[in-house]
Order: sequence, then structure tokens, then C-alpha cells
Amino acid sequence: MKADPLGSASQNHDQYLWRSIAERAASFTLAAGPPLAVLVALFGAWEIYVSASGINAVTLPAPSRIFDAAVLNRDLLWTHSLVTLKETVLGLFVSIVLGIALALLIDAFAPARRALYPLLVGSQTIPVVVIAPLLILWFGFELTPKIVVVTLYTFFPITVAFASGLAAADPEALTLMRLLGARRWQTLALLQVPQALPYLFTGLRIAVTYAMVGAVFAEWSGAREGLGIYVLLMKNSFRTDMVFAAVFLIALLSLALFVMVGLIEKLVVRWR
Amino acid sequence: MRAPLLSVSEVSKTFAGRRPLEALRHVSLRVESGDFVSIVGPSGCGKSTLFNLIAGIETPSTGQISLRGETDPDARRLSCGYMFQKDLLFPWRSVIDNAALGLEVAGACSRSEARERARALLPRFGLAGFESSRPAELSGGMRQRVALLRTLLLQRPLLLLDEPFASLDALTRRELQDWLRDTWRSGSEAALLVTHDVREAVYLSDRVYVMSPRPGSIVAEITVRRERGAQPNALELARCEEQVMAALRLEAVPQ
Repeated sequence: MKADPLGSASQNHDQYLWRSIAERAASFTLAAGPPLAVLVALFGAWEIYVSASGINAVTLPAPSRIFDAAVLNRDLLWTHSLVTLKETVLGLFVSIVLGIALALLIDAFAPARRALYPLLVGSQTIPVVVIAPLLILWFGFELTPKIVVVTLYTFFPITVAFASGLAAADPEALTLMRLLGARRWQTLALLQVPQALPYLFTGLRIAVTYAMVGAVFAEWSGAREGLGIYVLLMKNSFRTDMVFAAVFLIALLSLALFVMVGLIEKLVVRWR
Repeated sequence: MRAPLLSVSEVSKTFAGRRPLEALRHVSLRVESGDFVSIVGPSGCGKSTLFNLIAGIETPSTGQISLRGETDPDARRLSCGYMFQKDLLFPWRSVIDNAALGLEVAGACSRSEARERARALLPRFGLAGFESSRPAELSGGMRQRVALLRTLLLQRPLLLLDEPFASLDALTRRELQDWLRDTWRSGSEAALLVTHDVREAVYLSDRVYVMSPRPGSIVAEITVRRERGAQPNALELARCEEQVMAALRLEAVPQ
């Protein structure tokens, strides 16, 4: 190789980069290894059981069969996934806006807290299973009822987490802001909101695990596209393998959303 | 004679409640412009209550407080720079943004100018090169220096120091005491320190007030430096410490 003044520096940089990637891969393996091993063991046992017992594929398909069916129908699965993902993300977005607004209201006015808190808790006792068909009746087969169901499932943990974050400001720090001559909105913007952000993300992580289930369920109650209605159709045509494939896909996508919230949190909450 | 910068006269404070708590009883003291004054007392003697009264975030039950001739609590509040035992730095803000917080809140200048003014003072506060560090990356002593910079930048006439060094180790504490003695005048006209560390009080102050256990009242006033900037020798300091200790001991005996 020819002499290159930057060669050693960039080589060092490369080495550093590779080492950091390797370290990350190692720590990922460390975290993901045990659950993956359990998963592999479970699927292995399942596979062996199906082939040994000769059970009917409609009752219980083998994992290998589910996998083959999923690969074969990947375009269809992907189309339905996109619909469900869109409903989930839109519903989460509405939840975040609504949750933040409600939390700010609850924090700002004690009467609002007294008036709203019992209603918020009450809203969580509504059986969504029962009202989802009603929502279809009111809003039709399009996007709106799905967004409403996802929002009903997810706004509560976001509201409660952010409200408790706003209320968790150190009393002495609040005094400090008063002594500095801060107005109410300055205390909110400079102290309470930033320190409530980690709380907000905790709520969001909880919400994200419910969100997709909410969307799937709303589709189950009535839709033209989406994984929920797809599962229903496949079940009715005795394609148990495709039901399983869709269920695993829903779990995977939920997990991906969860990981994404974690990544966004790392970007936003850098001081932790 | 000129009116003192701060005068507290006959102030009492009782917190209402099922069992009312008498925190302060007939406290009188004064701080002249240029003074460094300390209040020494046992824990729970109402020192922090007195500070909150002076800073106008609580109101006295009886008595008068006047700061630069102002008796209105809101006006007094904006004449006080307050420093706590906790540094209360915001972990999401860099050193420079924490230091500039007060200026930013006051809105007297733009955010970038506030940063500029804080940046200019970093070397004097031993923080050069740390402007974009986060508080979590600093030592306890450095964090307290950032807190003091945040306070002094406001140029409030009276500096109220509420045991600012209590959570530091002994070596860092002495280092910061020396440094505070040389620095506090750059932002304020006078300083009032509450502490339970007799040595710290005598070392830093022109005058020391001794407070009794609750209900707190002033039981002694000891002059350490008759002339401003005089540097008493170790013997004189020791004698003053002895006087303060004697006053504290007298008060500690239950009557």
C-alpha cells in the first residue's frame, strides 16, 4: 500500500468503530441470547410434538409449516401489516397529544385534577371489546374507529405518567425558580416539562405494548384491511398456519415499536 | 448614619396548625453594605425559615424586614441571590446553560447574551473548558461553583447562603471557602451565611450571630473583623470561635 498521511489515523478510527460495533453486538447478544434460546427450545419442542403425534395441521401446524406459509404470503402479510401499523402509529400520536394536554391541564388546575382523574380511571374500566362494534357503527369501516380504539387503550398510561412527572419536580427546585423570579410558564417550560420527559417515555413504553393489540382488535370488529381482519378471514377458512404467522408478526412489530420508543428516548433524554 | 442594606427587626414566625410551631422569636439583625455576616445555630433552629422570610417567600407573623428600604416581599425576593445546600443544577442543561438560567428567566437579555456573560466568568469559577459538560460529569465542588455562578450572575444585592458547603468533603469545603471569600463581591453588595460550622462562620465573616434552638432567637453577636478586609491571625480567630462556642453551649443547656 502507498504511504498515506491519513492512513494510520483512519485505520485507528476504523479499529475504534469496529470495536464499538463489536462491543454493541456482544452486549446485544448478552441481552437477547437467553430469551432467544428459550424461544428456539419452545419452537423445537413444538416441531417435534407435531411430527411425533401426527396432529392435524388445521388444529396445530408445525412452526416450519407456519414459516413456509408466511414466506409464501409475504406480500399479503406486508400489505396488511402496513395498514395496522399506520392505525397504531396514528392512534399513538393522538394519545401522546391528548395525554400531554390532559397532564398539563391536571397539573395546572387542582379543580381539573379533581374533576378529571376519576373520569380517566373510569375510562379504563370501559370494556373496549364491547364498544368497538359500536364505534364501527358510528364511524364506519375506515380509519377513525381504529384510531379511537388505539387511543382508548393507550392515552391513560401516557397521561398518568406525564402528570406524575410534572408533579415530581423537586420542591427546592420550584423554590429556586420562584426566587429567580420565574413566571408560571417558565417554571413549566424550564423545569417541570424537561424533568417529566423520562416519565413520559415510561408511559409511552407501556402504551406501545397495548397499541397494536388495540388496532388489531378494532380491525377484528370490522375492517377491510389489516392484520386483525386478516386473522379473522384465515381462521374462517381454516388456515391456522396463517393465523399463527399473523400473530407472530403482530408480536414482532409490537416489539419493534417498543425498541423504537427506547431509541427515541435515548436521543431525547440524553442526560440519563 | 446610612440605613443598613438589610434590617430585620423583632421578627417572629409561628407556623399555624393543629400544634402551632414557633420557629422564630423576636429576631433582630442588620447587614451593612459590604458585610459578610454569618448566623450560627444548631440544626432546626429556624435558620432556613429566617432566610425564606428575608427572601419574601414566607411572611413573618410579626416584625419588620427591610431590604434596601423595601418591605414588600416581592421586591425583596428580586434583591436576593439564594444559594442552597443542594446545588439544584438541572441535569438536562449544560454547565453554561445552568449558569445562565437566572439571566434567562429574568429575560433581561437574550439567551445567547446570557450564555456569553456566563462564559466570560467560567475561568474565574474554575470551570474553563467545562461549559458544555453536564452536571453529572462534575465533582461536588464544581457543581457548587456552577450554582454560585448562577446566583452571582444575577447581580442581586444580598447573597443568601444556606449551608452551601455542608454536603462537601472537608478539603473541598476549605478550598471553596477561600475561593468564595475572594469571589462573592463580584456579584453582590453583602452576604449572609447560615451554617452550623463555627469555624466556617468565623473564617469567612465580619460578624457572627449566634442563634438559640427552637424557637430561634439571636443570643449573641460576635465581631470578628472590626475593619473590612482585615485579616485576623490564627489566635484571634480561635478566640472568636471560642466565644461562639461558649454562646452556643449556654443556649444548648435546657432551662
